[in-house]
Amino acid sequence: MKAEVSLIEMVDGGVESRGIDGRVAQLADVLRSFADATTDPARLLDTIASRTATLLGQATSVRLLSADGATLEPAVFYDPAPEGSELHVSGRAPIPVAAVPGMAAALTEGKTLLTRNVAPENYRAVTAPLTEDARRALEGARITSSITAPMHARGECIGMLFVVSRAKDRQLEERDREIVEAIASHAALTLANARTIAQLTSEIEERRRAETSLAATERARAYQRSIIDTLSHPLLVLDPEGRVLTANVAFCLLFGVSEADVVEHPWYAVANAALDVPRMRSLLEGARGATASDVEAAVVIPGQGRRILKVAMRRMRPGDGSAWGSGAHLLAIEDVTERTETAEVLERRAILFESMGEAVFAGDFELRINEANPAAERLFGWTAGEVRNRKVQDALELSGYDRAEAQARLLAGETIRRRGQVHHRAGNVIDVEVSSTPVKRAGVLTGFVCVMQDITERLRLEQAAEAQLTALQHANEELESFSYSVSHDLRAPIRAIEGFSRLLEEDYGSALDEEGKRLLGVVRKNARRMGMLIDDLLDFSRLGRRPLETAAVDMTALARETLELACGAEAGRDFEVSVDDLPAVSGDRSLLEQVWKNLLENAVKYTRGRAPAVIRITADTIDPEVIFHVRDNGVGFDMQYVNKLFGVFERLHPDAEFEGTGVGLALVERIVRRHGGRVWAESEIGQGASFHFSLPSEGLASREEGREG
Amino acid sequence: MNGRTADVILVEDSDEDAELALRGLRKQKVANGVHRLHDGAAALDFFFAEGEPVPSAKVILLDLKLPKVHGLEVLRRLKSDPRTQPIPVVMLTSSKEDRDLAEAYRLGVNSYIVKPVEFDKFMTTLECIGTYWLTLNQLPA
Repeated sequence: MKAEVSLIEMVDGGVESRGIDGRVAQLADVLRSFADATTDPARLLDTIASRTATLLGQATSVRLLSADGATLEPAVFYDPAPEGSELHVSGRAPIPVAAVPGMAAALTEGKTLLTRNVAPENYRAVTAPLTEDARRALEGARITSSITAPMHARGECIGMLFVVSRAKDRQLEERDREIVEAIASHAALTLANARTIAQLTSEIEERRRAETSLAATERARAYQRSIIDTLSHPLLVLDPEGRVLTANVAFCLLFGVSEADVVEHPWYAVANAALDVPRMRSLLEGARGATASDVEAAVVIPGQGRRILKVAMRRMRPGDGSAWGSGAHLLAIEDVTERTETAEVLERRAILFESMGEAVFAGDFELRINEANPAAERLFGWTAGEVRNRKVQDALELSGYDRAEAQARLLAGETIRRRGQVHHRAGNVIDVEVSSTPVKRAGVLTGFVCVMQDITERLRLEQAAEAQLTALQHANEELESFSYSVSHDLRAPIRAIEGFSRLLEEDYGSALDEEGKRLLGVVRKNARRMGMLIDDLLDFSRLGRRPLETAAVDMTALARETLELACGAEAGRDFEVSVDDLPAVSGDRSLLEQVWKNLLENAVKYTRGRAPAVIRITADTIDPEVIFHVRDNGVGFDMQYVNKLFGVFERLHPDAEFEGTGVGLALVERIVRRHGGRVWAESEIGQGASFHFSLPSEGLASREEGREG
Repeated sequence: MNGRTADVILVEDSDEDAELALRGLRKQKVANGVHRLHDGAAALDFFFAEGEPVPSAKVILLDLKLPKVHGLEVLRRLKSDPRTQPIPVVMLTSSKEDRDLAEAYRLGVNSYIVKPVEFDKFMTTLECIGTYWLTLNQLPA
């Protein structure tokens, strides 16, 4: 670039024919043409290059400075003499700014350079950083001169206009440089404007698009919101971090919260952390950004207790058209408590059906068998498959009752219980109890369930029990007729012995001496005693046969009256008696009177010789019993014989001391036991005795019922 | 005692009881005496003999457990025949079984007395019976 050429030379050797004015007019025309492409930077670049090239008759290119300012990128190249194809190659190669001496300075300073008499060796330096192909092409192009015009706009370099000439005789001149400089400066401004316009246009476009899409998003959100609120499944919409964006109505209802309570909280923290079940939390948190389905967990919901929830999490993808953005998650909850429980119940029922000992089969309203359990298979000797879809009357061999009648009643909606016989396939007959129950839906018969129980063993036991009962009844009858005979036949001879020894004494007493009379007295005394024994024994035996007549009994009054009578029988003795207020009981009054009579007569009898004779009657209620106590200060008894106390004819005292038959306490024991109570006693010789008996404090009547049946 | 008419008809199979009973009644002024029958069949024959008028009596003392025909059957026949129905019947028996008592009253017995074992009581009882039925009690004409 040593040689400088003048504008005059250029004018002389160039377009002199047109004259300077012609060139200025042409220049103005070129610059005006830029205005036609102000909104389209690409077209503008094209116009700049082509019009400049046409104006100067030289190859022209525009290079734009890269964003980092390091490279001049080829933008457009125009060559009016297309035969110089080498230039096309080099024109398309990027030029590193730093590699060309003076280039950076030229760009920053905005100086337009004219280089003349360019020899290949002159621009070795320029071509050195180029690729081999580009360098060779440039050298091959045999450039003789060039103009490099930086394109500055608003104080900033945006690129470079580059004109080269290959003609030796027509090198570029100073006037060319001025034209190119003018074009470059104007083109730069126009290009900058065009870019600004394009950017603004694109921004406006972008904004319009954004505004349109915003409205659409609003509509989509409202639409999707109404959908999720319509769903009966509780739903949460979460942001990518797992915070709640939205909770639907079903969710709020299930957890008893309002949407405002949960929004912006992590999903597992809402509703008192009801969903914060470790397993569920880890599974769902781990699945964030992806999809997790059917995580099941038991949670405790305030006010609802334990529920089993099935939770699925799904990430919304861009294509989903989600109103909440593509990073949002949908957390869908399903309350499967009932379903799970129903499934559990069904499973238990199925196991029961399979494992129960009773034969069960069930079917439809036409008594067609649908299913039969293993016990039924064993009972009849067929398999469930063999009887399925067959009618009961055809499939089951049964006898022992009117099946047609039973079926008619079953179909009429009645539960039927019958005993009958099953005929096993092998031929043996098995006694069964049949229970057929109609199944109804909304009052309409839809099927039946039949349960059969093998009662062979039960029948055997029943027959045995019946035989025993008959034997017992027979024995009882015999005993009754025996005691009847005793009462009638045994007393007659005794009466005779007693009566006739008396007649002997009355009619022939004078013929007897003292010893004779004493002996006669012994006979009479023993006859009387025998009579008493028989009477007591009859009382005792009658007690076992007589049904209890239960009513409310005022025990205080009964004890007082009986005690009065017992004491009255031994007039002249000194008694100190007390009867507390005793609880009323339910029992047989005349039998309970017998209890008091025996106990109190004993107390009176065994306190003979005590002055005063002390007899105290008290009671305690210790549910479910009332315990009555009779305490005296009599002679008492030896505790080592206490177990004999309540036996029939058992006596602990010689008759000479205390008369008696030994039946009284046995009678007491029997009466109390029949009332469902018990009796016991304690004593120490010479220290008095206490007798206690208990009676149920309530429900005596029902307790007796079974016994008498 | 002409065998067909007596103040007291005693139906009793036991000779001993009969003797004691008679002794008990001895103190009473029994105008037409006591006629004793030994079993139930004899009692029925006595009252319902073919072609004979029904004998009258002030009281019938009837034992329960009698040979041949049971005392309750005799009672039933006496009380179901209009001719004998008005005659007072007193059961005099050893049995104090409830069912015997109940049945006797159902059949229309006029009194039911259990024979005491003790001699004194037995005597007293019979004296009372005699006083009541032979002296105090009024019968339709």
